[in-house]
Amino acid sequence: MFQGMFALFHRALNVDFRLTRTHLFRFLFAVMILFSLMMAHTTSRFMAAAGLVFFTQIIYLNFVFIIMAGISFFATAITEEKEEQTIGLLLMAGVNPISLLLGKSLPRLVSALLLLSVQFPFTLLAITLGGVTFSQVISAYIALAVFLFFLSNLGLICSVVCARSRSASTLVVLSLAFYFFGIPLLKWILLVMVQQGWISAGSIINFYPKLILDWLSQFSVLSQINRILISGFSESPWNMQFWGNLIMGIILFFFACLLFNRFALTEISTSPGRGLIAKKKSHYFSPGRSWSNALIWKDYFFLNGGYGMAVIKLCCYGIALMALCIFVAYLSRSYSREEFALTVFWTMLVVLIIEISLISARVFHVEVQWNTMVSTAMLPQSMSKTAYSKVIGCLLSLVPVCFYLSIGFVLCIDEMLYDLGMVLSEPGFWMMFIEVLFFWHLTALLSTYIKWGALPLAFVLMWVGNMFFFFSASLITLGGGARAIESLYIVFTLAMFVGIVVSHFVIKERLIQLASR
Amino acid sequence: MNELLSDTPIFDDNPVIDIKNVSHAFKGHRALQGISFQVHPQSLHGFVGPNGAGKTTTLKIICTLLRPQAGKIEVFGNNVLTGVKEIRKRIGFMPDHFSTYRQMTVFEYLDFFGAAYGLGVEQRDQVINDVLTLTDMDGRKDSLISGLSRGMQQRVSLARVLVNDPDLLLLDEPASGLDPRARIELMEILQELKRMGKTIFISSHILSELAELCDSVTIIDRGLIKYSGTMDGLLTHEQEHPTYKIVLASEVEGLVESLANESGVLNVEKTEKARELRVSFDATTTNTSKLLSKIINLQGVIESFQKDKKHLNQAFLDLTEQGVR
Repeated sequence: MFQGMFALFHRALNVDFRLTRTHLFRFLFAVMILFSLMMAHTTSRFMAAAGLVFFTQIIYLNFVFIIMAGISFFATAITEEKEEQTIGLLLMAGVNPISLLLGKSLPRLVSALLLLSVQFPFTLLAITLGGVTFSQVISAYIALAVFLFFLSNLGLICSVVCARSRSASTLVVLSLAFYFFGIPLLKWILLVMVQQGWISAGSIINFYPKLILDWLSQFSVLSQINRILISGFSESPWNMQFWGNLIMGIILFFFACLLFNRFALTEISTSPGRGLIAKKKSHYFSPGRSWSNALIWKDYFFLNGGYGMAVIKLCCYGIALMALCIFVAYLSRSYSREEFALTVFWTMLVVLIIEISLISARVFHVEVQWNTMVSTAMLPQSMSKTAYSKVIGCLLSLVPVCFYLSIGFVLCIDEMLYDLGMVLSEPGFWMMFIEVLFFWHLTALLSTYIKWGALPLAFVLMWVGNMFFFFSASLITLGGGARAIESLYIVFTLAMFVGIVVSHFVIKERLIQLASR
Repeated sequence: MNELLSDTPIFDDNPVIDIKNVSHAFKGHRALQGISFQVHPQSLHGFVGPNGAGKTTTLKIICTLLRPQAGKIEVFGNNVLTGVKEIRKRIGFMPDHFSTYRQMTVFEYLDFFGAAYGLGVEQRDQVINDVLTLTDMDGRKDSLISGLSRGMQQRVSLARVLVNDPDLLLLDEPASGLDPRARIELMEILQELKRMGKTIFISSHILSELAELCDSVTIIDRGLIKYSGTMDGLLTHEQEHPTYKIVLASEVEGLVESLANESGVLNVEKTEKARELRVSFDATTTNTSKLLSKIINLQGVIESFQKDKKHLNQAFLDLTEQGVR
């Protein structure tokens, strides 16, 4: 019965072993642990409980990696077979759905668990550095391992239900957002309702939901880790979070098996969708005739939805902003025009950053994904011009968010100009600004190398890079004061700026290489 | 070393494509090993070779997508390393896979490429109508490309290639995966394009597919050119050891032995028909007149005497090596 599962398991481990990038990834992880250890050793001379600092870093590093693995690695277990259209062949070869699910998800889970287990001996050094007990180390790793199990099954069910890796990853993100923020949000809403007097504190409507939510909140791995990392922790690792995550993982696997036949053999389109773009030329949302810069036209309409998507964004952002402002006004009682403008501005700035991040992950990747790079590359223009035209086409889709952003800016222009004057002279501001730009470039570059997960990978790399920088900076500038830190900021900013310039050339060369494949 | 077996001069003063000693390697694998050949204006030139012979690499170098690591390639007199824009303006390249924006309609797709080549709206309308008529896609211009059959999608690709009215068409295995009808229709379109004065360079791994279509052919195998010249030259293969088929009115006793003993005759064999002989000889030591005289001297009555054309597949097999690449 499980012959197919072992075949898939064996193949997955073989492939994993042969890929250079998996070894590079492990090497990177080892370097980070070593770095953290080195930092802890250095700071142990003048800091109490250096072991706890080291241990905290390692645990959060693992937590971030597990989240990223859930979004990319686990969420694509079945969708990659769907996209390759090999799932039917596997079933025809006599591999039953349970074997297939186990064969696809187990190797990934094992790889991730191996990564956790190999670092365990090094983490024990935290005990010798002081501030951590053995039971804390054991509890933390058990909490992470069981969360990993839960996440692998969450990824699996999303992968079974969704047709494409992208939608599976999005569903995992939404589910995790609910897992981490849903219960605190519901608890907060309940609290507000009691505070406002809409429901009484002792009523059944408050009592039982609160009881259930308190119980559910114990399932959160984040709360559990925070508890473990408090000095003096001596609870059993076999707690609610452990059993909750384990049972939820098993239930999710069970549902993945149940839903497999319903979703796995659904015919998926081998072509990109047209979305809201109308075929009729007279329609409002029709792309009409191609613009003189045809690539801008193509990417604006066929990659970003064109006018139809712009209208939808305009409406959705407007409604969301209105709801947010009403909500804030209701809570704060007095809500001035400036405060309203600042709410709009900062909200839209966050949306703008998210939108550009998504664009950077897609702008070149779709051409690679749909094998269209060769036609585009044959146009009588340089690859640089082609690439910049594509970027401009995508940036046009930011008009709705820029519209609200500018409203926010104009409504509090005096305050904005005053704040701008203050921050523009700060090296920290420029470092952050360049860092965000660098992140987008890195995402775009990675998207030309890997099939999925460029955005989370870029995020992890940036996070790791920042961690390295800030630890190194704190060591280098020890006793050097604010001037030394500012100098370091400037050097780091310049280095990233050079990185951005270099990435333009690297992306161009990479696109030429992809077109010639 | 290349084996350039051609019965006609293969180097021309004004070739459309001029390839000289071009080499290219990928990760240690030598895809092209100093290949040389030319493609003449307004010809339909076949480029044939087994899978993995180096056809696509050659095509990509010609169309400026790959830079050759050694040797020289000129297209319309422009070097592929320095004259990229000039070359791209005058060529149309159709890759061996569908490289279409399948979420677009046929019209949007062609309109996009028309605009990308710098054509104005009115000019685009005219060109799109022309290419759709030529490819017999008039009725499908508002269809989504993703909804078209493979043959239709191939026509859309061909129509796209024609949008900028190129002088040279580079087609990489355009008929692969098409059903027989679609293949025939595609070949008819190519013949029409040739009549219109286009130079067409078409690659395939099936020689017989191109036999009736092409004026000239280049055969490549394992990165080496095995033949470059006219299609007729490939079939007769007369350069060194021509073979003639002789049909006699009646059998002549001892004729086979007498001919076999003749100086320069390499092989004489009777075919399945008793009155028919196939004679191969060394063209440097004997000729057809001597052979005919000998037969007449032996009282043979000749009904027909003609050059024996080899079967295409045999010619291809003779030139290419066995083995999986």
